[in-house]
Amino acid sequence: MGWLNGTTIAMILFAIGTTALIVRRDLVIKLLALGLINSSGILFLISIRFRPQMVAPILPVPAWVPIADPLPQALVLSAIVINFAILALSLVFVMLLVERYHTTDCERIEHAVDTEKAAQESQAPEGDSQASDAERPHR
Amino acid sequence: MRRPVRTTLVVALSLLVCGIVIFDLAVSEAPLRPDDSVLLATKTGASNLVSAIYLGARLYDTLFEVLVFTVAVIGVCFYLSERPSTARPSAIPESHVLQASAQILFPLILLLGLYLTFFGHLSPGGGFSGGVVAASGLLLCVMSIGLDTVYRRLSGAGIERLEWALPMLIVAVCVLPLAFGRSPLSNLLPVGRARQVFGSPSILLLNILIGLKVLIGSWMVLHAFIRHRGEI
Repeated sequence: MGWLNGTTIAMILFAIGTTALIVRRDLVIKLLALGLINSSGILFLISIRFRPQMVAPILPVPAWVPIADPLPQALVLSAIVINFAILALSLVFVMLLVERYHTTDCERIEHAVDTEKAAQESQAPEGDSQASDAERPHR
Repeated sequence: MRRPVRTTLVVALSLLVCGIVIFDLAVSEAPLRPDDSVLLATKTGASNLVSAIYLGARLYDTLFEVLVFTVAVIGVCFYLSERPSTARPSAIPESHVLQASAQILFPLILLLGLYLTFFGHLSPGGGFSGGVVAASGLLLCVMSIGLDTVYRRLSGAGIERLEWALPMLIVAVCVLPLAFGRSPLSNLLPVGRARQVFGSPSILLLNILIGLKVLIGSWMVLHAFIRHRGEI
């Protein structure tokens, strides 16, 4: 089981996240996949400069004990906070989309946007409910 | 193209990219020399080398990280403030177990957040994790006594005005050494004895400011999400 270390697990997580991000149609699941990709990046950066005999980079450490590289850990701290910020902001946008189109399916949202655009170009109201949807302001 | 074929292609492509990246990066093994770490620790006074890096040598990374966080909080509050607010935000059924445990746990969680913030340069922790821990304690309070009560008690202290003042304060602390003719990344306050709480006052000051900022920012995001969750 020597191959099952942090980098390979990060690789598997990245593959799962990328697959879900491309294949799944639900916007919330897309956001979860984005978080999974971010976590895999964090795991990769942490484990790439760590060996099992190393200790945490907090002094005092005896001179003969190898310490883990603190630089990737400091970089990862920024990644965690920025992931939180991006996730919160994109959840707000998903909420706005759901409030307008009443679905989280991105293909249905695209279809609804296309029909709205076609209705606006032809300037012919097809039905009461759709016309009121199209006339509603974006926010 | 059929769906299984597409899925297999996507998985294979992402595995290939990961493999290339790993073989490119993981082969180089250059452990940190002890001299470097001791030099870094004595220069900043922090025995936790991670905080010595992200609040010392790479302070501008942290500064812009705080600014990104601020922009995200502004965006969440702006886009959610135009939505209609929910009539009764505390729709969670009140549970006596939750109320009793929140009374016991909230001071302890707040104490843990304070500990992580104040000892961030000596032990694992720091401003970011301490602020998030304290904000999760606030979330526990919201679940037990309701959003309105917590909001009223907090905004009595002018907490949201503090939210906009804190990024300015952090930027000021970061660039204030320029006014004294030092380089912008040097320590503003003198480095004291090693392994003391006040051994590196500038990192302690930055940790406290960042902890407050993260606490208030997370609270504002939580409050906006609970208040304006709307009806679908």
